Amino acid sequence: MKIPKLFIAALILMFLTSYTSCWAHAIVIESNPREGAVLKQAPDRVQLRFNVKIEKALTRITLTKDNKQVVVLPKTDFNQGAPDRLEVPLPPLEPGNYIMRYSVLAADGHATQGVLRFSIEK
Amino acid sequence: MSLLASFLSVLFHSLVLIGMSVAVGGLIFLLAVLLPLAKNNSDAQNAIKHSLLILVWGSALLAVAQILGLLMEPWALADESGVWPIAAFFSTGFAHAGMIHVAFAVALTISGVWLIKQPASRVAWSAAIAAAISLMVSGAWLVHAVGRLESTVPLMVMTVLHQLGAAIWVGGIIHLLGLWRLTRRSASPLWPRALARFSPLAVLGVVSLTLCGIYLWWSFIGDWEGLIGTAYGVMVLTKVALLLAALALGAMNFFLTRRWLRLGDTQGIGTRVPPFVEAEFNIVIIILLVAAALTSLPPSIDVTAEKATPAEVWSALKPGIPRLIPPPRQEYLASSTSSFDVFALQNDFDKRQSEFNHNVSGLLVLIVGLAALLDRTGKFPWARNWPLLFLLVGVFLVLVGEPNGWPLGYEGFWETMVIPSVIQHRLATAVVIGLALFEWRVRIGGLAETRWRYAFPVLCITGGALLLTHSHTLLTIKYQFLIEVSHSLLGFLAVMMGVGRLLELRLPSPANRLPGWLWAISLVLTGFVLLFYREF
Repeated sequence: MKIPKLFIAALILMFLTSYTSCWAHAIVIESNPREGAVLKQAPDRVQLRFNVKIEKALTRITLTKDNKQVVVLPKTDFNQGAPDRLEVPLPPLEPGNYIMRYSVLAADGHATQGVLRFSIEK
Repeated sequence: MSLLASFLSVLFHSLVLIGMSVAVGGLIFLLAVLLPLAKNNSDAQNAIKHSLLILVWGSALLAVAQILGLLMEPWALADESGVWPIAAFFSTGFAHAGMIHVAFAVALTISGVWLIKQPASRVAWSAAIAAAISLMVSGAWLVHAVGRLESTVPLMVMTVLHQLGAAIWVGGIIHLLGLWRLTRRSASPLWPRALARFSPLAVLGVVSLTLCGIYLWWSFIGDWEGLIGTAYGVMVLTKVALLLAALALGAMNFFLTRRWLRLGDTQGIGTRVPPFVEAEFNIVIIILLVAAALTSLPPSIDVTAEKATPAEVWSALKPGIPRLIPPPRQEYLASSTSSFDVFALQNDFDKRQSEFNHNVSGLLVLIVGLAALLDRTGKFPWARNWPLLFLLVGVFLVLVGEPNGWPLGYEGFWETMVIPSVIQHRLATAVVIGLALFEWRVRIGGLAETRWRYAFPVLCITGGALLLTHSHTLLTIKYQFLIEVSHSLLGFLAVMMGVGRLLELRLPSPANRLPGWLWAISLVLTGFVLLFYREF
């Protein structure tokens, strides 16, 4: 059974351009603050608990305020605590809407990105 | 680029699974099927060399795909400046396990080459067996179970046994196809004898993968709601449905082989078994693709708040009034998000536009399917022109494929040609239009005897693979999962269409009638699923 090469090329291109969604293998099953929380007081740390063990040395965290202003986080050694938990110390935060983006590697080798949103009231 | 890295990671993982089946399953096929037939049989000795060559390609594929798959993870973890954390990644346990896996794959490749040169060498066979066992065992540190906090070791063991069962079955089918291509012109008695030896081996493989699969699925799924209310559960259900389809074909082969053993009837084994094995091959490759995509999803037991209820799943599938009128154009354009923002959440106008696109496409596909069904009755000669109706689908896709892009939206044609989804939609549209014209010429006779007759089944199988391996469950949000339920069903129907049409083309008449109806009915059902598609 031979298939025309032009047709095969179109199918391969279709396949390679179909990465419009991504997989979230390691998911946060518990966090403090919770996703979408509206807080009266600024938290001094964020705690994340994942569904799997993670390779903590490869963790990357960024925090933005009101969707544009990047918050500088203190240098942290994530290699502490249980293998499925991350603790991220925070600097003093002003009132506003925050998005924490995290990038982790699960122990079974799947890289995953995710976000945690929270707000601090004035 | 992390989206591309994630996608390629799944693709390479699929290739690792395929390579493992070809290599390890191939070695078992050689030992259990071909070697016992080789005494004083030159056909079998040629077949052994041919199978060893396939084994070498399989283990080499495994090694290359594993290395490329390993490189995808630091790419996906690259920081804003694009720096890959290579050193940190290669100091992880996963990377070490991956490199050990590569080393055993290379060892199996070298053993295979050695055996091609010296097929009688007991040392070379022992080396190949040792490399294959080490390859399977080292794979245990690359599976999902490694990351679990509980029952890690039992889950690792069961996953490896599950993979071994799949390798015996899938690898055997691939090597059987290789044997058929080698012997089909010589009418060698090796083909039926090999089939007779492979049948019980395949049963053993299927039993092993099913029993271990049941343990794994219930460990990772937990309950019935997890099975039907999460992306992981629905993917498992899809895998089971595909497995049943492949087993139905396997059962046909089994009974035709038994018939040959009892009555010496070579007719069925020579004309019907090869197309069945080809079709089974297509389905099991899709199953491996789904298995790779499955490993990238969070298990159902970890999804709690976003788990859909049976009622919600039913609401995603039950027929309703189709949306055949688009949302007001100006309002839609004013509120729609840019095609460049792949993470944008859909607003109400986006959802209405998407439902309109799917439902009208469904109506058109339903018309195509009904025309194809009429053609199958043989009573309406004009109905053989049914593929031309796909042109309507093509024109509709050109117009609304990118609702806020060219030709009716504000974003230009070339401007958006850097967005993966846009390129994919336009390629799909071009393929649909091309398919309408070529399949029409196949039907009216111009291309009936050319290889273009395979374009339709290949497109269906590839489209099905795309739909089944592309999760829409970004961040495991429930409404995106409910959309995925429809996509999984469409993917399964697409595979059934492709396999049905392939069997119709390859089987002798009248055995090809039933698969002919199978693909036409699957096309009609595809129309219905699209017609009643709902956004959430």
